[in-house]
Amino acid sequence: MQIVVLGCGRTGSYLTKMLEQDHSVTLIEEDSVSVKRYGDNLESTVIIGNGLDENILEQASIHQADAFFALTRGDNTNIMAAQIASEIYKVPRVCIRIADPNRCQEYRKLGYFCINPNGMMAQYMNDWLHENEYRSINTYNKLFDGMEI
Amino acid sequence: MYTIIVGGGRIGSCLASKLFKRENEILIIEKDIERFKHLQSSFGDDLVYFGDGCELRVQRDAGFNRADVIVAATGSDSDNLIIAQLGKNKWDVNRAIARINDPKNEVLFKKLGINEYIHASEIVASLLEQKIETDEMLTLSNLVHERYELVETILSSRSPIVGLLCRDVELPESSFFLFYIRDNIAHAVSEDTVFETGDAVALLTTRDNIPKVDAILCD
Repeated sequence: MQIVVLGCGRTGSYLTKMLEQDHSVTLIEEDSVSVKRYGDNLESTVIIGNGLDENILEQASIHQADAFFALTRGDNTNIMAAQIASEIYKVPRVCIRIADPNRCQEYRKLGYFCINPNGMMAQYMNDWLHENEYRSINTYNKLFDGMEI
Repeated sequence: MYTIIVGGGRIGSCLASKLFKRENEILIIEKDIERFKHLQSSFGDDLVYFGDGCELRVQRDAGFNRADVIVAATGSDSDNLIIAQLGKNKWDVNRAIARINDPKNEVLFKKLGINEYIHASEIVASLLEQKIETDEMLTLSNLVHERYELVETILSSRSPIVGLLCRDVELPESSFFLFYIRDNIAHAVSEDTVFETGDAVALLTTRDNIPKVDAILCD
């Protein structure tokens, strides 16, 4: 598969390291310091630039991408980048990381695959403590009742 | 009519004061503490809300659910997109208007159902274009010291200073030539500069002296 990953932080670089074993991955990151810190053991192409800029996205061959991951620290940047990938470039599989659980839920309702890392981790920990069986990612992604504003 | 403006920068606060004069109910949401304090001093405590307008919690407390209009006027297009989308999808707001900073994003906003948007810099640019065509002094920027203005004009062939040496042009007090742009290249104005038709000349002057400067430079 052709995959574009936006954001070379801990998650983005980790994911790229895993994916690049079998797939062709292009990583986009605005901050060259992050690229140095997290991206130095990667084989994949890294493009320094803004992931909302169509020139940068096209440089990353977004037209041919089978999947797009929006993993920057900015929720709104991730949401907008993902919407560009899916609505303008018709990337078939798009994953958005959204730190705010409520915003995450709203965009899930709109049909996007969104991951809220904190909520997911909390629910994993809860299952670990109670020795529950681990469940599917969609269960963990769902906003816990009572967290909704 | 209840209007919520997210982002109290120049555009947001200017819009707020216009709506405020027309006796609408308004609220400005601002996340920058310094800017918030400034807005508070001009609009009072009740019309300004401190917080991140992209957060649902803030949107709820600000009363997005009963707003007639949401204006997303921040300097970030992604923030404006998300504010307008949440306004429509989560809170069922009748009208969500987004400010677009980068013209490239128009297509995306339209595609995502944000049909009402203002592309501020384009509007400003076209106003400037009109101004330039009429050969007048343009204010480039309001400086921190409100007494001073940065102004620019393009010298027409009828300008009284065309052909003159800079040192022979008598400007009013507290007014200085800064630079001029000729054939797309900027130069610092020196004593020996000779002005030519078509030069875009920038000056520092005081607000009160603009008419005098205008009379000296423009026909």
